[in-house]
Amino acid sequence: MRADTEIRKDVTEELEWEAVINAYATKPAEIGVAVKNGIVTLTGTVDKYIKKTSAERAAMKVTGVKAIANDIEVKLSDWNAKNDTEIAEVVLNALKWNTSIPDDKIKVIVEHGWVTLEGQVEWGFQRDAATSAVEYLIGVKGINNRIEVVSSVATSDSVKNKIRAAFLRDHYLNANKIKVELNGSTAILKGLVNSLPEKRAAENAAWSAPGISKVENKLEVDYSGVLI
Amino acid sequence: MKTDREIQIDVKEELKWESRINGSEIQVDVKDGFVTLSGTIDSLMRKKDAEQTTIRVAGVKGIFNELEVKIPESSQKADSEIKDAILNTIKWNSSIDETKIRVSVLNGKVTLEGEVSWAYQKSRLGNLTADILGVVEVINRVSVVPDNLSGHDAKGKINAALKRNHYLNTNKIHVSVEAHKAVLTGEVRSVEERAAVETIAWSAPGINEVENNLLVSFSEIYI
Repeated sequence: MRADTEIRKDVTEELEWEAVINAYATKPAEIGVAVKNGIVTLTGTVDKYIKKTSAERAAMKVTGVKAIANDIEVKLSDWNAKNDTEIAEVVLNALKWNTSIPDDKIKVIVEHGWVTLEGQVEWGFQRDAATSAVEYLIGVKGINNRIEVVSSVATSDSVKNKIRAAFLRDHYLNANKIKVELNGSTAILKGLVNSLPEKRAAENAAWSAPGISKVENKLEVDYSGVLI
Repeated sequence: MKTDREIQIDVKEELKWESRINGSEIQVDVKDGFVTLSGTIDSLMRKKDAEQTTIRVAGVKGIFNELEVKIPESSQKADSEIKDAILNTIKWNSSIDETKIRVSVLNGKVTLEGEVSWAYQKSRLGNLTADILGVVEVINRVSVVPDNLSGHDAKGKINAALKRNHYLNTNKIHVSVEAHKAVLTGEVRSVEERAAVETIAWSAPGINEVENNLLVSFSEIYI
């Protein structure tokens, strides 16, 4: 087990290092880092939403981090504050021109810079692509992605084995410690992984299963098997 | 060690599994762990997805991505429309200064030119462009010109960043810095790791060139 103080030091350095957070900044970003039992809480304010999400991804890379609570507040500076109508137009345009997102399936609501996405798509990656297409846009303060994944095919019990086979092919995942359960069209992942990125990789692999409309990721992060 | 035949089977399965690209007919050939992907695919983003999917598979040492992008008629766009969509995307990007970027499009083939201050901005420009409907190819000629080349101890900072990264085994990676160029030598355990190390080197203050001489060796994980 790594000491919280060590994790905190590494996360702080990783945030100072991350170019997306620091590019064009006139002074260092004011992000607070607190760690308790491997759980990292990020606080403070940043001037773009993409910095908030980048901070989370940067912290995720550090050994010993088990979970992240992202309480960073986005306070847009004057130059990137836009009115909601403008933002809605730009969001719709970004979704329309994106190769991963099906046409006319997603409804956009913008309120004080907060973007809510609604609708139904066939695959998990299409839902995630909507977030990626919107998170960097000027004026966006936050995203509430409520897009549902509704698959047109039915799941079958063999899906469990297929998900497990996908884990086995991936050289980052230790498939032996992951258990896959199926409840209707929901895949439930249980067991242990070695890091947060691994936890996410397992979830992404499960989303590719035919007929899956929800993945409950109950994997626990256990760093004890890792040499530090 | 996995045999080429085993790698081929796994790559095919993984391509079939990945929802981004399933249904595409991709030919997979493997020689000495190096995978060649060929055939046609319906967008540039899916071509990149095929590559990312292949990289995940254990045993893959390198990839030749020879997939040809053939956009179905329903998603074809005029060059002028594509150009406007790209310019608009760049303009609304909160982390890129669009005034220094030039875009030209010919038959869906996009050339990006100009200057950015950070390497991540160059790669983001490339990725954003690849994800626009109608784009067949992206030639990214944008140069990275750091605002401040006076960053000191780039080598120490790169080494520290490599150590912090949970996935990397840094024992066999050697970093040297001459003027503003970082040179990477030694061994890594996967193609992904090789790219991750390069990205980290690019992020160092004061670096405007990276020479990646890292070799991929699988021996450690497959004995």
